[in-house]
Amino acid sequence: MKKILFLFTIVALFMAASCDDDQVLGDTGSVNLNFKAVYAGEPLVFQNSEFTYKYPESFPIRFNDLRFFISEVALVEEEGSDEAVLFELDYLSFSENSTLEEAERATTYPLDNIPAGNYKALKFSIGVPADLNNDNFTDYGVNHPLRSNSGEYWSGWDSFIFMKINGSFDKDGDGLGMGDDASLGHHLGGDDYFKTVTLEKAIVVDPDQSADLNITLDLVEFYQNDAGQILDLTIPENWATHNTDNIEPLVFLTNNFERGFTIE
Amino acid sequence: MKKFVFLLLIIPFLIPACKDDDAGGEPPVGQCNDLTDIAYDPSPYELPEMIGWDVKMIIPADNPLTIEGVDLGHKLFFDPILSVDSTISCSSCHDPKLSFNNQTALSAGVNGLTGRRSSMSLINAGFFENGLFWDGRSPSLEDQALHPVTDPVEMLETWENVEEKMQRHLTYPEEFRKAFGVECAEDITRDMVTKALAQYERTLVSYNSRWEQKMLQGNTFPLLFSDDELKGLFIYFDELGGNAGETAGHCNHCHAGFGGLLTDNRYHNNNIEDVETYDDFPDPGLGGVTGKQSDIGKFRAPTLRNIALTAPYMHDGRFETLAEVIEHYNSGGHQFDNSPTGSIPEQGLGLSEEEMKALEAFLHTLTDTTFFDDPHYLNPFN
Repeated sequence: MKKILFLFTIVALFMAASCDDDQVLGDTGSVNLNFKAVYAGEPLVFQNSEFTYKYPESFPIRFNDLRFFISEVALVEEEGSDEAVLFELDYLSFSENSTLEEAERATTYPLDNIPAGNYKALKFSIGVPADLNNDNFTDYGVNHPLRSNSGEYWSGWDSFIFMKINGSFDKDGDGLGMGDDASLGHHLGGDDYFKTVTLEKAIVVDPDQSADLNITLDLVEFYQNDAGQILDLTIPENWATHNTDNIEPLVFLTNNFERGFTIE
Repeated sequence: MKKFVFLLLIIPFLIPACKDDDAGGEPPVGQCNDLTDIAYDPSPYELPEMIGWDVKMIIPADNPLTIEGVDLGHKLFFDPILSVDSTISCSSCHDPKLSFNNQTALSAGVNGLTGRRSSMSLINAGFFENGLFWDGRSPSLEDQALHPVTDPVEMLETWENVEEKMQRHLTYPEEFRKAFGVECAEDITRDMVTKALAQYERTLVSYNSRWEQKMLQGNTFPLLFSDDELKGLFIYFDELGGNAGETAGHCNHCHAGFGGLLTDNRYHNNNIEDVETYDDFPDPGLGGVTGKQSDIGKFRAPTLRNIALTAPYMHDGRFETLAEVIEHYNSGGHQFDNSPTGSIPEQGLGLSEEEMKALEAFLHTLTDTTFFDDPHYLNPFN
């Protein structure tokens, strides 16, 4: 009789545990955020002189760096404005994609335990939120994105560099790589230029299912605004944003963050 | 019962046999040279307050700094016992008088063999993140310390031998007891050796160069910069040019970092190789570790603290003087696909002769003489 009671207890406990698991699994699903960088729709290859692009209405250009802090990533619920937070902060770099194969491959964030439900948008910010940007990031552990990217902290701005775009372009029409190219150094940061991007899309997270969200960053869109204006790179002051006195390209580029991203 | 009595009788004969083994080869399994009479009560080691830095060192939770651990690491660092023929110690390539560097392009190991890269300064190594070595292949100081011992062109030793040498040493077992609480000498492991070395290396902190006394600590007298030094400072930190009538040096892109670190803890192709394709780089650097094409030819940006003491320069020691280094960057070097276009303009920096001299004068203000005169950093066996 004791054995039967013992077995019954074990089975009951096992079933109870199984029920709990089912309940948790049943309420959540997974989301894969797949990021790709393109330029005018073409895969964007970095640090490779075989891949040049065309600056809007003008000269050949190529890129060495595109990397940025992405933060406050969340899904916006279909009803109301409540959000399901996907992750708080990371540093996303496309700079290492120096072959076409690498450029065509997405950088994926596989995210589990996302509340199942219907959502109307993906929302994220480019940069480091002000509370973290003004904190002493050396308090964080070695794997924290701010600590492992401490080289991006710019004491002159009291800010991390939110986004770095480096490259070079043929300013005088004699061809790229002829020894007199202009350097592009758009380093964007500062609390005033922390921008949030909202990409509207009906998103369904089914229980125990995985949803793929494909986000494309088209870099050329950062350089032209909704009014059809283009950041004029014939003006040397627009080649770089290395200090806060040179604010025009900083404002122009950060205002175009939202138009640079699309979601499928 | 008879068998039991027989076993009891032969035990005394087995004990001397064990001792014989002990003298000549592997210690028997289960033997314990008991160290528990020695107190294990390690005291925390306090790093000095680095005024103006506002940067905290990351110390692994499983290897806190203790006075006993640091002392042990100090001895191990200078002891050639780690090498196969007891000729090479860590300090052979990391001389405290030379800012824990040496003055050779390629460091020599046992049998006079040389590696393919220059040794790196260990100054403020506890603040280095994002990988160690020129190619970033090691994630921590503890891991880093594993490599030179077995490297065929450095110490050519095996860790099994090192562990045995430590376990049988006259004095080290006592020190491992005090630092890590081992109960038996046979419990000493390579993990403890590297932890002790890492603890010592984390104490190699420098924060008293003239530059930071002036800029970070706010002292002005008697530490005034000369006109050249001040001009060089502006050049070093300038990115656009013209802030004080000088040309931009762009140095701080890779050699700023937070606090007084003077490195961004990242990897760069600094345009020293004249190559047509990625395959042409003689040393893949970071690319050899990550396997990524775009990382080929990139090397860790070293701190420029005490840079005047660490000639020759670059990962292969190709430049003899600071003037040569400045000349290289001023020329723009050899542009390639993964060159840092925003940091080293294709046309070069455009510094005049006078500006290059001023920049070199400023680099000398990054020397911290209080660092290499500190007896804590000298050979404890002298």
